[in-house]
Amino acid sequence: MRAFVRVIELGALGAGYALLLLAGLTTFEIIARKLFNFSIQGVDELGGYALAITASLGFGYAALERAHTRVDFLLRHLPERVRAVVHALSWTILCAQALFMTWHARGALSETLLFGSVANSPLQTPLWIPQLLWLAGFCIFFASTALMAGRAWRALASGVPGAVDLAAGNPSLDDELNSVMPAAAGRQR
Amino acid sequence: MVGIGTIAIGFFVMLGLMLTGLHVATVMFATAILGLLVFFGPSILAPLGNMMWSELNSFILTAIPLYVLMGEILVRSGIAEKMYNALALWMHRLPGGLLHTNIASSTMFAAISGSSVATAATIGTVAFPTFREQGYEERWVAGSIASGATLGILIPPSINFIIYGAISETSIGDLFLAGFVPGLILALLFMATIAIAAILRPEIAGRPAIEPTMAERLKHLIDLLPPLFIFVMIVGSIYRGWATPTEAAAVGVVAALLLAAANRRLNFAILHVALLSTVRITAMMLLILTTAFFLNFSMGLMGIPNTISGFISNLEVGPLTLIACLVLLYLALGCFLDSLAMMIATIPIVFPVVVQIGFDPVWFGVFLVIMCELALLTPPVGMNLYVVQGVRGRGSLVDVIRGVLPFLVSIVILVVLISLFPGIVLWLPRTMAG
Repeated sequence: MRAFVRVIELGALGAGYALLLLAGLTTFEIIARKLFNFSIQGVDELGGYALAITASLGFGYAALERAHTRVDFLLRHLPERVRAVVHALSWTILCAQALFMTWHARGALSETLLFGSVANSPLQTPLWIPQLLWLAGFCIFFASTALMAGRAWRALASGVPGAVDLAAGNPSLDDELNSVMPAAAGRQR
Repeated sequence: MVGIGTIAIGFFVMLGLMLTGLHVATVMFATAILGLLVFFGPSILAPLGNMMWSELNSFILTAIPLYVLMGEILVRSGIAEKMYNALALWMHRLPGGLLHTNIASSTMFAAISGSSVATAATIGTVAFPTFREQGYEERWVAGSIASGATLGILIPPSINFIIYGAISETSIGDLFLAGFVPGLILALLFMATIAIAAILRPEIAGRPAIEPTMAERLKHLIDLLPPLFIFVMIVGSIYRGWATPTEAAAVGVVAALLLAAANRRLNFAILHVALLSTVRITAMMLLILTTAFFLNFSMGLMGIPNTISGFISNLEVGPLTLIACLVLLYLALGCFLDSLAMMIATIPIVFPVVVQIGFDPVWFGVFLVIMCELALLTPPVGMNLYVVQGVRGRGSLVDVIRGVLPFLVSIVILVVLISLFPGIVLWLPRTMAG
């Protein structure tokens, strides 16, 4: 399980570096275009792939980090048992959604493979390459939501008060601040 | 097809489900898919995978992670402290003193960051310690930081404009330019609020600090150059047509890295935190955005925007009445929904309607982002309130809420201004086009 989480983190970090590389390439392209009047082709095309893959790989990472938006202010005022059931249900439903999206992403890839589609662009990228990585991201999304749902149901079954909040609730304000601004969290407390 | 009553029921069921604490993306996705299944049958879902690919394989949307990354690096680059201190030297003589620094530095930070929450956390972290020694009324300090930070999404670059532009197919460059003048006006309205309050009740501002010399003030002006440079580079290159918003964001990332390196704040640990945070925030936004595209698709197929705009035309209300109704609707939604989720969930329904009625898409984008600013400040779910209270770390959330109230009036005044004089919004993008 730890290894799985680590793989997802590395995937997310890889997507981050891809974005950094893309930023560098784009900057180079603009300088070359403005100052030296030549253009390396296809940076925008690569940018599109980078976004699609960052998104699908990131979905799973964001699920593990519980970053997907939930409106929980009513939930916070409900009794602990009810809250626990809602947590478990909402992760299970998100997991079903992830499976549904993965299934359709697979459909898109198999169509690409069937027709041997290439991008309508100077690079003529065979589309199965970015789409395969994209689909891998969705598989990870499904796996990580299944993991979260599993954690929530197990915590519910354990019957320990507060266990589900801890396993599957929204992150606390301190965690969120920490992710926005490390120096801000826990200040003067 | 679908009657207005059914639409209203569907809309409120969707909102109700969001309030149960299910994932917002799940609720929107289920609404879209169920609508398609009920009215068109399962075969309509066949091209779903290809739709998902063509929405996500998008260089325009690539602007989102790039602006987020630029902000993530700049937040950690030490630029905010220097900027804040340099501005403080110029603001302390105004009535309300350092409170103006909160607005001015938020405005400036907004110009290099696309997020209000990040702006609130950054400015709050820098500002609170400065105020502790000087005896300012803390509810004004907190209120000015929380409110000033909402400028982050109105002054370009702005993630909200990119998302609005992507869903509604409006030019993101135009939206960026359109947000600039209203953003400056709002900053001035905020400062006027502080000045008036300080004249009426001088005790809200603390005792004056030691008078800085002119030489000192001039010396620190150099700290304002880096953020100014990044802003002018981004907005200037979009304005001159040299770069698309996405390309400008890429250059911004490189500039932010250089700046952080120059401040000796760049290392692998910081970079990795910034990268992971970027991927997390991007994924969070894109999951809701992907489902919004489906919602857009299914609303369109069901002819829902036509039905609603027909209904509204029959009511024969004037545009100003309609705007007032929209303000009330968004004010109510904003109390309970996360501002971004509120914007994304309502665009597929509201945008086609208001455009058919004759609103300008760029104007409506600015209007909607101002509504998001209100949503960030209205309890019980105003994110900026919680961020500022979290950074402050003492007292009660109620102080922050009371502190924000006078600034809400400024935001409402801005809405009235842009409704009566749409030129405030449309002048800058039109001078570019002409």
